Amino acid sequence: MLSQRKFEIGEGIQDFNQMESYLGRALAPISPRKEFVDNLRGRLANSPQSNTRGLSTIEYLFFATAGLVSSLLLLIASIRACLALIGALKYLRHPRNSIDKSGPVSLI
Amino acid sequence: MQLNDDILLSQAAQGDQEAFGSLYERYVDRIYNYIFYRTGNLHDAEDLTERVFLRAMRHIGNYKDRGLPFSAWLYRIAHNLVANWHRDNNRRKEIPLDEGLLTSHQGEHPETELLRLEERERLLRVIRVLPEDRQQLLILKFVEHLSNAEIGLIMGRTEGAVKSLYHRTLLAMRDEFDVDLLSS
Repeated sequence: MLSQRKFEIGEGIQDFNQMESYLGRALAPISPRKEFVDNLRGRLANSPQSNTRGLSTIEYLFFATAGLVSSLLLLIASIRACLALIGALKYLRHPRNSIDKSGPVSLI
Repeated sequence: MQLNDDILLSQAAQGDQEAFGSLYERYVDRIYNYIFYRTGNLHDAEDLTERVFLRAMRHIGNYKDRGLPFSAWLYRIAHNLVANWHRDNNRRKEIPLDEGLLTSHQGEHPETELLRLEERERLLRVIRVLPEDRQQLLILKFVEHLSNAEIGLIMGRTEGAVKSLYHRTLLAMRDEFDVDLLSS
């Protein structure tokens, strides 16, 4: 039985055309359940995300520019904060120099 | 009159649910079949088909027409989801054959039918040990009846590359058949 079946299939697959027809028979399309198709159709129609759409070019440019300006402002603010911090550290390390430069306070 | 995909796509991208519904009805069978033959069971085919269309709907506003048909975009989503499914479940080689695959032909002699189903089961087993791209090619060609050019668009290959891959796939299948027959 096995040898006979092997012969049948083995003989068939020697020829690509026969193999193609064999594949065509075996890989027949199937239909999804109608209930599934209808339910999914309903879910897609009622999905709150249905109205989601991509950004238009103008919207994209607006958000890109806003992002760039915000980043620049943040950078400037950070640099100013760093400079202020450096200044404060210098003052803390050498507080006398600052006092000497201004001179003693005369009470007279 | 049936609107073409481009018009429906632009309407769907503007949030027209009816337009997306029409696209869904046009492609649901194809996507379902593709997933079914890649996973081998009805339950996962339904689950993944649903995910494909939900994802497509969520991102349809970002869809850019790059000369590819809309179906190619859907197949790519399906392909990615199926690849994730195989990776997550790691059950590629132990997929049970669902009743949907083994539908009987009425009026056939029971023995003939049994032989036919055995052959079909063997064929599907051989297909499942092929690399993913080859499985995809066979399903698109025989289940979806797409041309080499259309398959090329979906798989991101030239028509010649698809032809070549197809030829190598048939050769590999012939070898696999021999191995499968010897082991059974």
